[in-house]
Amino acid sequence: MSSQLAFLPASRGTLLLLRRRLQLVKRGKEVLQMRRDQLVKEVFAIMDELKKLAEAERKYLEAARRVTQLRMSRGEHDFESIASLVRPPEIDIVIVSRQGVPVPEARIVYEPDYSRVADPEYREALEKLWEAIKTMIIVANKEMEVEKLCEQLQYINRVVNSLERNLIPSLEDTLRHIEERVTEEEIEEFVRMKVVREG
Amino acid sequence: METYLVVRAHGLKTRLLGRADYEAIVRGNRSLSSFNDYRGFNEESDIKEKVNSVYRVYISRMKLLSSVAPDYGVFIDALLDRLEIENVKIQLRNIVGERRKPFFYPYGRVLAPARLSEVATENELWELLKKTPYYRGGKTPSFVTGSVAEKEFFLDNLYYLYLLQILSEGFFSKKLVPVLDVVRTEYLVRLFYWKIALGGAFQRLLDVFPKPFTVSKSAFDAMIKKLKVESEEVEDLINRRRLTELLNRLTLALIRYTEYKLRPYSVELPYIYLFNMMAYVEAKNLERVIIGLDAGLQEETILSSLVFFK
Repeated sequence: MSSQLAFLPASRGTLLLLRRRLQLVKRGKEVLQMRRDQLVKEVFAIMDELKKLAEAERKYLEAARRVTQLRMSRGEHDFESIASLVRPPEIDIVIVSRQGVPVPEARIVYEPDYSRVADPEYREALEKLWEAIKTMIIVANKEMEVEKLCEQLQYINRVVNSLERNLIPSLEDTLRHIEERVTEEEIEEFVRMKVVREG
Repeated sequence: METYLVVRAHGLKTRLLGRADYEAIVRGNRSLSSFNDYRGFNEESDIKEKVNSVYRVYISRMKLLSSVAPDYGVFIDALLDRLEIENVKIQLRNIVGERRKPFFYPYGRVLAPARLSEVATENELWELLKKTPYYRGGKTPSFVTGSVAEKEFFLDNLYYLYLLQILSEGFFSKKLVPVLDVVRTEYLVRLFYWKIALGGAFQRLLDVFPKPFTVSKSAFDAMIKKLKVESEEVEDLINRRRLTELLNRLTLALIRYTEYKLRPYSVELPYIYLFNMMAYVEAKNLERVIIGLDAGLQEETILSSLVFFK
């Protein structure tokens, strides 16, 4: 029995109050369980998309290797100065709501511009690298989404467990205790009335 | 003096690295600093410093030749000046592009890297070039497409015009006749790259820009035939956009062609041209080895990117 509940007066009013509270807590627990199921469903749906991670990583490594080979073949001076012709992309981090959970998401504000690079080999290698990076960004966003949803799931689980194993049993105990006290008091009152009437 | 110069070049040639040396470096059996000429190479320094120290060796070799025969210095400097034009291109890309700290070749005879890095606008760059032998007294160039590639193409043309001018000067004109054909072929290899990079605009630009040689429509086919490279192979590499592979293939063929053409002049001035080519290729090869090892590429990948001429 929680310390707060231990000092409640044993009365019909308290009984009614505790019954209402127990009902509310049980409803809250159900709502949280429903939300938990919904989040689990969502996480599983995203997990399917995360299967693309291996493929995205493979593509990224391939594109990065191609660029490295190009850097090696053309030389550091050439590579560095050609790279300076590319306007780099801008990526912003915004907070979006996924199932009511705030999730940071990387968004491409503008893509890199390689229009100043005339060499077709450089362009092709850079385009492929950017495509691979874009896919990696999408996958990273999904990973972050899963992470945040799982954090929320953990939190909900903690709350549900606490309600299930702590608050509800404690309320039920108090309720039972007060019910017994109220019944005892009623019987006592009844006996007292009977004695007074017969006396 | 000429014979002494060429003998010194032959001496330097014996110190150029061979396939086995590259393989030993790539496989980690030998460090670059264990080779006499590269004793100053610091394995601990950063990649840019390493790359530049390799070019410093190339430059010092050519400078050595220039110092033993000052009469031929103009010719040897002109060969080295290719790096200066490359530095101009680097600064041009820097001005047009994202203006990061440019990484220059460690060479500057008339345009020191420190001076070049101060140039803030394109106009300033052309004005500066007008004060150099590459474009002395020239008009501020007007461009057709305005692209960086077009301007780089223009700079390449300026370099070959300058080189041709040196080769045609009274003193060298008689001695370097055999080199002219090689320079023309080398220029065509360079043009071939621009033909692919510039696409449709190439012919228009070629007609507009000053150029060292006249280039007929069949010049490229003739060049490929002359270098004994299979035209199907060239087509295939172009279609697969394997430009680096194509350039390597053509460079190797060009070195072989140069060796063949200049063989009768192995104790005459034209040999210096061949030596420059080989020393430059060594610097390029070592640059590839350094970058390849730094990036953790496979030994085979690194070795396959090298140009071997021995």
